[in-house]
Amino acid sequence: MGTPADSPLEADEVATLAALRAGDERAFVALVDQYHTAMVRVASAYVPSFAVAEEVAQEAWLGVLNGLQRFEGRSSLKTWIFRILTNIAKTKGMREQRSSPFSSLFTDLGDDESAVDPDRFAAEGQWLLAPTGWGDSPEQKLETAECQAIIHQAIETLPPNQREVIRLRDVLGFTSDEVCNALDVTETNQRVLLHRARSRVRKALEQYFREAGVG
Amino acid sequence: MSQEGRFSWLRRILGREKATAAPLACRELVELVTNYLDGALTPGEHARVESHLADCPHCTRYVEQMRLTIRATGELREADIRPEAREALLAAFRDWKSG
Repeated sequence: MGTPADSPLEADEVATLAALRAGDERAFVALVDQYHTAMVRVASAYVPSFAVAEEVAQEAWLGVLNGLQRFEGRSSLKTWIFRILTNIAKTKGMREQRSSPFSSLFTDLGDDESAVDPDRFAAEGQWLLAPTGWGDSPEQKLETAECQAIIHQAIETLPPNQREVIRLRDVLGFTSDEVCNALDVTETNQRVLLHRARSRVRKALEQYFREAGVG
Repeated sequence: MSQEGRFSWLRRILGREKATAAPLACRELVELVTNYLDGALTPGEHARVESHLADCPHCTRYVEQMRLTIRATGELREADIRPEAREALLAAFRDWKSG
């Protein structure tokens, strides 16, 4: 099965949990601000529209509230919240009858993709068209709105399974285990999808730097 | 020479992967980058990657660009929750509290 072991409640989550159970509104709003957008993103991998994904996330929060007293803290709060979300998303996805069954989204990875165009290597495997430099201070260029837009666009055009993995891992900073829990994907598959996604984003940036005349 | 002979059995066990595996080609390395950066390679594979990088400025540049890509992706700001959604959730919370 390959599900990673749950890590227990994080230190900062203990306080949050207590506050929620005590009916602390600010704690709830802070939690919502922290996770809601990510939850909508994850749900969007399973359901046909953004509007439905938003509904799923709302339902998930209700599930969280209703489950608060019963929650035993054997997993982290984050993992628990995203499990609730994923379960609702899958159920709703099935009902909305997506063209491909949701269960294969992260198990059927489709054809192999090369990280780099094979034509860029010689027969023996060494670089023919090696990567060109990205200029003197690529970090600064990469922080510009222009580059951020390119990365955003590259991610938006990824296949859904790659998109959700890179969004959770690299944009939102989920650990490998957290992603596997949230998306119910094996560690191996998660890494394959992340690899393909990152390769495509790098390619988009490479093109940008080349056209900008520094790469 | 005698030292070689004396510890060759140990070296063979410790360096088994290194000794028997052919050096990595660049084309193979670019496929291992994600696992490499995640620390998900076996010690033997990890060593092969590092060994290749030590001698290959092209792959070194590739890995560095991948690192830059990951860091830049991390700078992306997700849109904030829409105010209406936030309001709806706050209302739901108040309902739940009083229920």
